[in-house]
Amino acid sequence: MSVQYLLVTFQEQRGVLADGVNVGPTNQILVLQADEYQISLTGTGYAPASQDVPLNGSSLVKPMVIAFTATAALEQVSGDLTAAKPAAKRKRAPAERTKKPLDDDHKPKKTTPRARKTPPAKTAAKPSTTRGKGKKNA
Amino acid sequence: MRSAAIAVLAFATLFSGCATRFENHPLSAGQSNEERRAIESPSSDRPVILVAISGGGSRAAALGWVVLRELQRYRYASAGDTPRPLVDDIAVVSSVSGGSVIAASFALNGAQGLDRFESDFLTPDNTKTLGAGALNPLRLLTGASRSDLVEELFDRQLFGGKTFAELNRPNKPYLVLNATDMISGQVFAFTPQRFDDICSDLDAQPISSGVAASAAVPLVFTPIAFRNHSVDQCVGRPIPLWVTNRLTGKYAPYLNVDAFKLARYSNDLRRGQDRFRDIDYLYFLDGGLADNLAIHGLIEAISSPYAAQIVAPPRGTTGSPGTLLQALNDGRIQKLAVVVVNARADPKDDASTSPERPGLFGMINSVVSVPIDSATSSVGAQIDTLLAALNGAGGGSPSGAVGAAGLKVYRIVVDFDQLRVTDPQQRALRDEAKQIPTLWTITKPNLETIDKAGKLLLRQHPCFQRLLGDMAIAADFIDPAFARAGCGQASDR
Repeated sequence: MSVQYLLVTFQEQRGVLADGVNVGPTNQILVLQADEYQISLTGTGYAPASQDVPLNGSSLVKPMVIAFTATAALEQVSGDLTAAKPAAKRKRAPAERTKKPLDDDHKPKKTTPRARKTPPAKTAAKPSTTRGKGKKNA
Repeated sequence: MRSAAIAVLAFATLFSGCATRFENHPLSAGQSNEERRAIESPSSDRPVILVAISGGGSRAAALGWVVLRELQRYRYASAGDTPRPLVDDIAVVSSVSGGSVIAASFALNGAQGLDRFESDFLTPDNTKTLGAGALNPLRLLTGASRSDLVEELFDRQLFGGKTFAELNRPNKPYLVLNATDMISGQVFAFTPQRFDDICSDLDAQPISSGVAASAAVPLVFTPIAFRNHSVDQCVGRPIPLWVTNRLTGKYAPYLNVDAFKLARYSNDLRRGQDRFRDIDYLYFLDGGLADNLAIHGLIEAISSPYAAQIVAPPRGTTGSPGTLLQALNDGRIQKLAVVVVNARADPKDDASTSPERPGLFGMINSVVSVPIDSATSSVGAQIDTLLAALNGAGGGSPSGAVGAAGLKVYRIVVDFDQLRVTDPQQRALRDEAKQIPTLWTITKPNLETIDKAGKLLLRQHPCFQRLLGDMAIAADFIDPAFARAGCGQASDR
């Protein structure tokens, strides 16, 4: 068994799912067994829906980097939340309206007290919308 | 009269064991085995301790007991609580064979039960009890197997007929009793997930049967028999995603063949598509055949995304429990101690000093023990690799934030071979300990030897000293420089 290192980048902190199981947060280098994983995120509003990742050949210094990007719906929500008007009503993106309420396991996790650094820009891979793409070693 | 008795014995011997008793129960329709254990979410002031206890009959049970009592002895200041013993931080106990006796007893009764384990199991002459039972002609007539006798002994002295439902409760350690599937050679762990695979109700399973399966020494005891209820129950349930992805993945068999084989075994047990083999019945032998250190259970618990979800969510949050791996990657575990108790004996063998070629018994002994030692060594190397990688992650990375940054890893192996050969007293102690036979009985002098060796091994281990030091636990045997050099942490640098 060999141990590998995976960095999943996203604009906010989410849970990283390997074959549907939460293995740790985005934007942090995660330790995982070498294997082939279907990587996705908790919550909605990201693309691609999942990425098939043959996780191997990485190191702590050069983790495998997988990028997810926010979809228009999430960006709209984010924009609304940071709007200047405090009383502005939050718009819900169409994609969100059709979703069922998230269960506890799929809600974005609260940031733990320990300070989280965002990864350096140079480690972020070019996002891809096709399954199996958008990953590389940093 | 005498000839009649002989005839009864012969009849009983001939026909005993003809009828196979299958010891497991099917799940009800639509039911699955729920995981109810949820250890408190780790915090930076508490370690997470995982323990593996090897095989070796009562010698292994005794060594495991000594180590657990030592973990009970050392306590640290915990916010708002009375001093907390390290034994309360044990999250996972994995075991085989003799180690399973103390592991199951500890999981059932907690640290409070450690005091009476000596009188309940270590002091009685269990071998004599088993021998008397085996020669009872009435018993032979009932068709009871030798393994049935062991289960009865365990129930009478330790488990009182209790089932795994008593173990599967919040705040109980996650117990992994390991047996060997004698056909596939795979480790079969008595866990909710594995019992889901065979559509069997773990809550209804007597603890004694799990311990007996884990300790069914080949030839001495009969295999424990299970029926795979997936053959005619649980039909139509989905195969877990991780299994499907392992089996259909383009790279999976190349990147992690062990995980691929585990998925294949799970698929076979569940009667999934494209099975490697049909498994209608399972026969279990001693878990030591596949892994005599019971380390598989720990490796899976630490590193598999698909391991049991036994870690409660962080305090003040709601949600479902997660895996240890998730807690490590979340940075919630800051001190991970892995204690491996290896009670391997190594009795002197005259063959190495004799010009006579070894006979049949010598060869049988080698055929059995050499592959076990080899497999055990291989699994030991795997956990070393894993713990070294986690230790390295604790040191962070120049390429970005590491989830496990700050993690300290304490790899504590307790092995008679670590007694110092340069110290005549320790050398003598080692030789005494390694001569203790593998039986279900241990003499008082041998128990004293194990007690002395176990305490010494733990106390002079640099990582145990380091753990105590990092937890601000005072002990006169701690040598800070020795502990720091012998238990290096990447997070120090």
